[in-house]
Amino acid sequence: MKECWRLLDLTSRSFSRVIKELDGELARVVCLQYLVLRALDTVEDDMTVDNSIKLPLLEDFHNKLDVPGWTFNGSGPNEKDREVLVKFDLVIEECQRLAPKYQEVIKSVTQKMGRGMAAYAALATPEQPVAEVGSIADYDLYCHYVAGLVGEGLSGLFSASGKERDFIKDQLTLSNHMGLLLQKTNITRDYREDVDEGRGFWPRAIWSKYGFDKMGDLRDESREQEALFALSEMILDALRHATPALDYLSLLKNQSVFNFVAIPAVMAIATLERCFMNPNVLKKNVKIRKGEAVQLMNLAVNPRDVAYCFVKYARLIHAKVSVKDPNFIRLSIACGKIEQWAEHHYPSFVNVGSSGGNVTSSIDTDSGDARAEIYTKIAEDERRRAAVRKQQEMYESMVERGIIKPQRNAEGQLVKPDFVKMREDGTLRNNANNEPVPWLFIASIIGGVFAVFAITGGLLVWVMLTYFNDSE
Amino acid sequence: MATSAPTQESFLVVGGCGFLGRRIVEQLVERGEKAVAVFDLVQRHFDENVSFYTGDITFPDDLSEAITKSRADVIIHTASPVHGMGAEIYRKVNVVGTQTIIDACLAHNVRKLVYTSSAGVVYNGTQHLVDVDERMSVPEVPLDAYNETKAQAEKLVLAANGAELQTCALRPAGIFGEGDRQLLTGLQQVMRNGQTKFQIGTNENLFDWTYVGNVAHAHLLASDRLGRVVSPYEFTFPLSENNKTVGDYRVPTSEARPLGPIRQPTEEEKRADEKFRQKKRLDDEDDNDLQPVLRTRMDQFAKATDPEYTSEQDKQAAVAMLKSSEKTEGESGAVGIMTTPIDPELRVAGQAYFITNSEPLYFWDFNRAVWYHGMNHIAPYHIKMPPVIGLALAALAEGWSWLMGKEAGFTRFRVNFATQKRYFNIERSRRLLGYEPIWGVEEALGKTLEWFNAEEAKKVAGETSKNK
Repeated sequence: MKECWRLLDLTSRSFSRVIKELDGELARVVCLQYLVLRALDTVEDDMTVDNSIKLPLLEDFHNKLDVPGWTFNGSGPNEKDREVLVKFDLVIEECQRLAPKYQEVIKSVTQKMGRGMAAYAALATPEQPVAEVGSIADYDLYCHYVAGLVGEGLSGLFSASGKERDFIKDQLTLSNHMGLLLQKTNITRDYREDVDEGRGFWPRAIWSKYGFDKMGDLRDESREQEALFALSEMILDALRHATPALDYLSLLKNQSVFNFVAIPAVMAIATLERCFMNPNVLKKNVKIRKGEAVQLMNLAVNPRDVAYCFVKYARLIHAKVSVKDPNFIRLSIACGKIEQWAEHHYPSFVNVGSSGGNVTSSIDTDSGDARAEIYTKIAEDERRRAAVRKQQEMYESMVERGIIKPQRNAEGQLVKPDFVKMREDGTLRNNANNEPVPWLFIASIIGGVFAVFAITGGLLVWVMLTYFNDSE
Repeated sequence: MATSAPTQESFLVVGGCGFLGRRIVEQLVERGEKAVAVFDLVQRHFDENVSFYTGDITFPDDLSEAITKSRADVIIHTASPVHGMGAEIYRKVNVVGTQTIIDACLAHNVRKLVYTSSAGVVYNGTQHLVDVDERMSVPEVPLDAYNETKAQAEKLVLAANGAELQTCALRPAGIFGEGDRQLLTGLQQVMRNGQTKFQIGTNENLFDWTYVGNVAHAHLLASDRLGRVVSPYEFTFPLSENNKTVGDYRVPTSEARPLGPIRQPTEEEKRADEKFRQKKRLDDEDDNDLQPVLRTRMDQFAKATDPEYTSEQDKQAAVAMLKSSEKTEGESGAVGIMTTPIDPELRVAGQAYFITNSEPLYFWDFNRAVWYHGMNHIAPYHIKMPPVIGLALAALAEGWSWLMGKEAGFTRFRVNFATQKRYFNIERSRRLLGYEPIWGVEEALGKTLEWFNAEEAKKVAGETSKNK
């Protein structure tokens, strides 16, 4: 396994750290799935391997996991991750040590992905070694094969490990959204690198709208404005997956799994913001700053903070939109959707804090948010219900232990006292945990604030009067 | 385009020559209703297949005549005075008029009454309305006479709901569309005054705008579904995302995806392709990876899905009921099977519903889109003012106007309006009325601006021909 960890460090820049921090055996399992898929991807990417070898290998790759000692030395010398294939026997060996439930997931994802990759590779022509992506639906499908399936596989592993609930593995739509958000971010950001190497995954349906005939033409600096609008449509398309990604995150229970999924997600939204209306995307590699990345990693620990991180970047994107951008209204709505999601699931007027390890929440009535009224009512209602429940339980246990006699009605049948009614008509006094609202206290604070204002105002008038008197 | 299936009831649209009322009439006719009638102060449209009755809703005799002659089963009451009239007019039309309609409904055995209220009834002028749902109460101190009387009328309508007459109220937010001059001419005036460069606030406040076609559609649905009860079980299914404007694409999964470049598909792949092409049904467990609907205890439907309130038996009874009522769509579903009294929240009748496009935009974006796409104007630069300064300036302006005895154009109310968040949660209308916006904001705005510019061109043409 040691060698596998080394291979992971070698092949993944950003993922290796988050994978290692996964709980228990999940780290090992996810590392192996990563390596298997990385190997598959290396075969797919390799332009030096002829399709007569490549296609059958891609389609059959999942079976290699059952062939101890299998390696592949046919990768081109420039393939940066060729070592994973050269030492693939080690990966196979470790995979076979995994529990069958994990092997099954890894194999199934490998098979599906290999099948899709082979179909895309078969479209290659000598003039265009990497087939162009046409419509948005094609773009979605391509991203599904190379990234959405990774999401499905990870969800499968999370459920199999028992660290996440069983229904996570069935969340295919959400898993794909998550994968597509990350993949589309990379495709958008890597424009220049891909085009320079003769690839390009931006769908024709997007850039052709802005008058371009070839994807490479977006590099033309005299047409920067149109190219930037195409870029903004790419980012708009990626933003479609933002709220489903938040949905997915809100279903997770395990902290290490949450961090593992959330960190790439916040990096993605930050990257989209960095790329938005940024001509450098067309010229070079754009990256978020190191410091920002570290900050994001520390923040991605709970769904509320992740959601508001999304909101922050959505607002930054929105602030940069030009009215002339043909995507103006759609971007406004897409950014708004993220904010709507956050406010619906984690209302901003509820302050969340922690004291002594417990998460506490309080309603900020000064937020100017009209919903505070509804929430305060619900909270009071809940307190009341909880108190009634407690009294009922106490009553029942006392009856059970014979401390008090059960009440009977005229016919001698047992009756339960109606605690709700008793509370309402005052027969039962509220106990300590039902404190009245300290109106007097609030009023005195408000009065105090007014007094301060009045004094300041008076002072101001006095100073002005003195000043005017002096000048005369 | 027909928005829903006809029920062949007899409809009387009160205010049917107005901006919204006219749209409702058109949609009714379009979906194939044979008995559509209009009641309005003046007749502004002349259609062969619609009967018109002119009269005043505050006069019971006028109404009685229209109801008797049209044999109305359903009354859709959209009549409301335009903004800027006096408090007395509001009270007369909104409160007295609505009460007259309710009385006439009861006197003439009208079975259904759908009332057009306004989202403004919950607005108190100072608070942000963020993701607000129908639990929000009407403010104790009303914002103005208009909203006060709308809220009173809504209360009357909902209180009238009962065995003989079923009622509900719809609260659209920020209606726009072809036929409405108020919003667009206002924006045109701002542009002509050269005031487009001013921006109060940070433009981070989302704001709901709703297309009139969608509001009309909601009225038809409300009428059709008024007798229905929705099963609490329904609330455990996820709702599809509204992506009308941003882009409605189904994300492929290994269970449901198109074949794409795959040449010789396996049986499994063919099945996935077929599934992908079928219309996605969110409540079909075999066809969809059901996403759990997570509701916090603060959610408006937390109760409906809480086992503490709804027993498993009730859920199953509700499903059975739902299945049997699907066969007789339009008829009020059989309710008797439920073992416990139905939560009034699950009944369509007797409730108010927010209706929006559910695509809020940042406040200034909508205006700028109108100026750019409709009037070909872009502000050369923006002067951004914090709301506090805006309020102070507005106070001065109001003071100045008061001294000069004029009505102020720039007011504190407008500053608040431009800087506050104001958007609503429409899950109730989606779940209970089955409402989904048909036209996205972008498409609707395009249609509206096209109409506006055609009208402007007509105006110009009229003026030039006069000058000749």
